Amino acid sequence: MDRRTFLQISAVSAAAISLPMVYCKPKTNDLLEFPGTLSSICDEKTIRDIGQAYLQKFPGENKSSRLQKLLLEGQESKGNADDADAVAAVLEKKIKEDFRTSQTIILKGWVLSLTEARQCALFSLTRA
Amino acid sequence: MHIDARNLDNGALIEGDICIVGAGVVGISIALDWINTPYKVILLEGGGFEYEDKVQELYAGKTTGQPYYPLKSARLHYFGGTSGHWGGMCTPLDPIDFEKRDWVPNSGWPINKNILDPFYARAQKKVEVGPYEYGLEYWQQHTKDLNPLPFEKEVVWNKMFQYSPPTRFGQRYKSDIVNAPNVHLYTFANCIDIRANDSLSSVTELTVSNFSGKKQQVRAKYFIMACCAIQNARMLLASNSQASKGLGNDNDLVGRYFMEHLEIKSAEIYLNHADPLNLYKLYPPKVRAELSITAEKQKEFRVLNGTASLMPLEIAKTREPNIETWNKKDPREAMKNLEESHKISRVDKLIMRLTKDIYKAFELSTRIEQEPNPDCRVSLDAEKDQLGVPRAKLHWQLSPLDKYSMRTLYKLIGEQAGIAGIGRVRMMDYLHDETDISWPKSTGGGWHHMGTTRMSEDPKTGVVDASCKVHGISNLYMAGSSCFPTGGSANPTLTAIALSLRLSDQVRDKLKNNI
Repeated sequence: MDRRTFLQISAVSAAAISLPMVYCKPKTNDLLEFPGTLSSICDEKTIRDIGQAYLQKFPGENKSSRLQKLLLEGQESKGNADDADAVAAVLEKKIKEDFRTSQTIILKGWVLSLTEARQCALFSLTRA
Repeated sequence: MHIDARNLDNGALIEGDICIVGAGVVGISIALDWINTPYKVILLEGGGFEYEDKVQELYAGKTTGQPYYPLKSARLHYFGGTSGHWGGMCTPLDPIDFEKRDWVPNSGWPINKNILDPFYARAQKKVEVGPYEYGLEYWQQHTKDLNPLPFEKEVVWNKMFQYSPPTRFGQRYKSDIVNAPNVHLYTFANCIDIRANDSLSSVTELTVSNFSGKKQQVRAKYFIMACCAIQNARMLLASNSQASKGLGNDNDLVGRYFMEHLEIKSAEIYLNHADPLNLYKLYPPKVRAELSITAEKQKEFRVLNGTASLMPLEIAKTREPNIETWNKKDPREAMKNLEESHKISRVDKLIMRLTKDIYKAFELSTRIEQEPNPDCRVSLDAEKDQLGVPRAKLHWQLSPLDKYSMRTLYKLIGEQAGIAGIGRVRMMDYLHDETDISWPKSTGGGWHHMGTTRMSEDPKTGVVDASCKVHGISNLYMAGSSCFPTGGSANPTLTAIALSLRLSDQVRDKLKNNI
């Protein structure tokens, strides 16, 4: 990533992440396909490339519905599946837990949690 | 006392109690330790007090295997030796570096770190750094803003480094050596042969020479070779008139297990929030830290010891890899490039001051030991130098464990970044594929030559014993990093000095006790 891109991404990501979450209350699906930390440090193309690399590695998950189901696993017990805040909290927790338990994957060189790698995959399917 | 060997008569005899071959960091450190003792010390230096290309040319040699720097420029051949282009980074080896590790073939020292600790403390003074303290907590009490990345201490720790000015031994200690009445420094005295008694159980004399064509003999009770890893091995191998494979080489170990520290750009860390990370800054006033994997995790993941250093990515992008900047046949050019690559320019400083976001992305650069490998070796070339000594030939060979270890280092740091929620790590292209064991063109070493006369209590697995004495030869010692069985992640200078001061004490005890 070049410096210009990095700076652009920093600026763009601040808006892309914080504004929708705070003010727009995005739908669950938006959150699912939007890997928070990664979105704040790299551009859409990178996220899409990571997602495609994931799908190449796990072709059995090459469906939005399948990825959504996997991403929402464990959500039921936390309350309303449509509650964006609850979904965001669950995703954040799952990502940290992935890192803690080495449920990680290296895609395009990025050391990622399995959950956020799936988010990238979903992103690449829905925003192709 | 200083004597220019070019002015001596052909066939002259030089005699002393001990003879140190090589007046670099290690040779000078030992000699300093003998000032004002009742013993006559002969200190031999192949060059003079300044760089001379003709003398430097004696270090030229071929390299094969993994591309390496020209041998001519990797070491400096004049009084003060390679301290002339030393970066000054000091830190001791870690306790695990001395252990026999079942996942690292040929690992294990016959001594542990506790044994070296008092000598490290003495070595600190020679290189003019602070107290023998390498704990982060200690330095946090003395320096502001040394905040570590919030990683789990069980996984990643902060290995501290102190900075020597750096001490240029040739300038700093010239007057001490030259004015010492019992130290006899001979410049332009290149060792070209080592002779032993008929049973090859002790060295009787060395032959030295220079471009005048004259030769002299040097006799002493003890001989200490302090010429650096490549030249130490070369001299043993080339002294083959009595033993066809060379002195001390009954088990074909001399020259083998050459090691470098792989130094290579490896990854990037992108932070959620800008942070100058002062603890990790290159060239702060006194200390810095590098990220290192704990001994427990090294055992768990079966990896070599290595560290990751951090530099703002925008600054790091302007730095060429070591293998390119130091790849000059003329060491003066290589030195210039080295200084440039370490310098933070005024433009860099301006960028850092004005662009806050520069502290959101850092390059991670590796320094990692390489697996001790018998096929990674120094041998003799058919071509001879101008004094008639066969030139050194280096075959540098890396292993799959080296690559696996490097990748694992960044996987663990990447996971820690995720757990801490501070950002993400991206490895460079050559680390993406875990099945790929090739190395990129940017692969280089740190000009850290180690191994070649490795230490072991068993003559079948080492050239020297735990006191650095050559197995089977009662009065011949190898000093410096050539004795390292493994390299750890520490720059080798401090350990080389510490190990040599220990050797020095042992030789002095022997002289005292008339052994």
